[in-house]
Amino acid sequence: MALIFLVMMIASCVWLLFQKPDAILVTALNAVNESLLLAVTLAGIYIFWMAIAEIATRAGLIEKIAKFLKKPIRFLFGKQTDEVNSYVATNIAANMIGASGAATPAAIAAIEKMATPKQTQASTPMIMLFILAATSLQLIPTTIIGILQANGSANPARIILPTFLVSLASTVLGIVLVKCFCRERKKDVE
Amino acid sequence: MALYIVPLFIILIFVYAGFKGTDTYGAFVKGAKNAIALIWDILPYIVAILVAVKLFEASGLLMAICDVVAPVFRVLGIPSELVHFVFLKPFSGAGSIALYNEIVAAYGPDSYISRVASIIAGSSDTVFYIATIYFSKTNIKKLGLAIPIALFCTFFSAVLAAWVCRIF
Repeated sequence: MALIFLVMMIASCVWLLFQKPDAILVTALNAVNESLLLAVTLAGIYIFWMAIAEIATRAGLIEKIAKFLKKPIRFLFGKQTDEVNSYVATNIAANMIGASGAATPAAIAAIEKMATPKQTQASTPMIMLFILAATSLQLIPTTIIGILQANGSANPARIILPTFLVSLASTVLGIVLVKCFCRERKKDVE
Repeated sequence: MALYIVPLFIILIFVYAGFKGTDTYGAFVKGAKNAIALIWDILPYIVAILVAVKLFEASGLLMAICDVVAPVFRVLGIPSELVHFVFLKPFSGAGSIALYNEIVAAYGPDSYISRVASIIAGSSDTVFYIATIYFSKTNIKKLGLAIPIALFCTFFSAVLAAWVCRIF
């Protein structure tokens, strides 16, 4: 990210220097202003949904969903310790209801427990967990709906179903790819 | 139907929490507090990305790059207006939200381009960020095929989003 940022900044500024040098500062400061406005919109969305997610977490909804995930997890991750299984289930369930605050620590703990101290190569179950998170299977894309609403969309909820379907398709593709291409690598880990 | 999903989800959570005897008020306040801290944390990243992207756009370089890759994107069906968004998505979560907001504001929230961007934004996460965070407590450096598979899936969902939005 640092390199991309540097290249973009130098290239844009040098280019602008030859076209309209006065535009550099105007554009930059406008962008900062815009960021602050966006932060206010985002704060509204995050405050509401993270508050809701916290309620869901404390009420034990994540554990409830995690229970239903036992069998699929067994299929995706193979035999793991109970501890790892519960971290994995928590991660997936929390991601589904959009409680990323609960999802990330669970994933870090799961991968930590799966790894041996000297291990330098990711094992297949670790890659599986990573892919599930990267292809995100969120039931309700709360941030997206919030931004659509803030920009005056007539029906922000319209996006829920297509987003879920595309998300599901990419998750399934990810699972298939991991199952096909990461299998033989298991041996050099153990 | 879609209109009822969000309200029902919220009601379900409150009813479930009430049934379980959760301190909903305390939880709500705690969650809100965490959100404020989160916004505070990501604001500098949003500023950095928006400044860079806006300058890039103003310089005309963004258009130039879009023109170069547009034919490839056209074949796959992804609108060329989303080129920079598709490329930024795996690198920066906060940045891609900023860019997403830009796109929605520029093309209108119910336009085809905004709908495709919405699905892209909602159907994948920040690949490189997750890769760093998830493995942060181990010594694992070699992720094997993890990143290539994740990027491929992300790109696949962008292509699929463009097709799905023609139907929905």
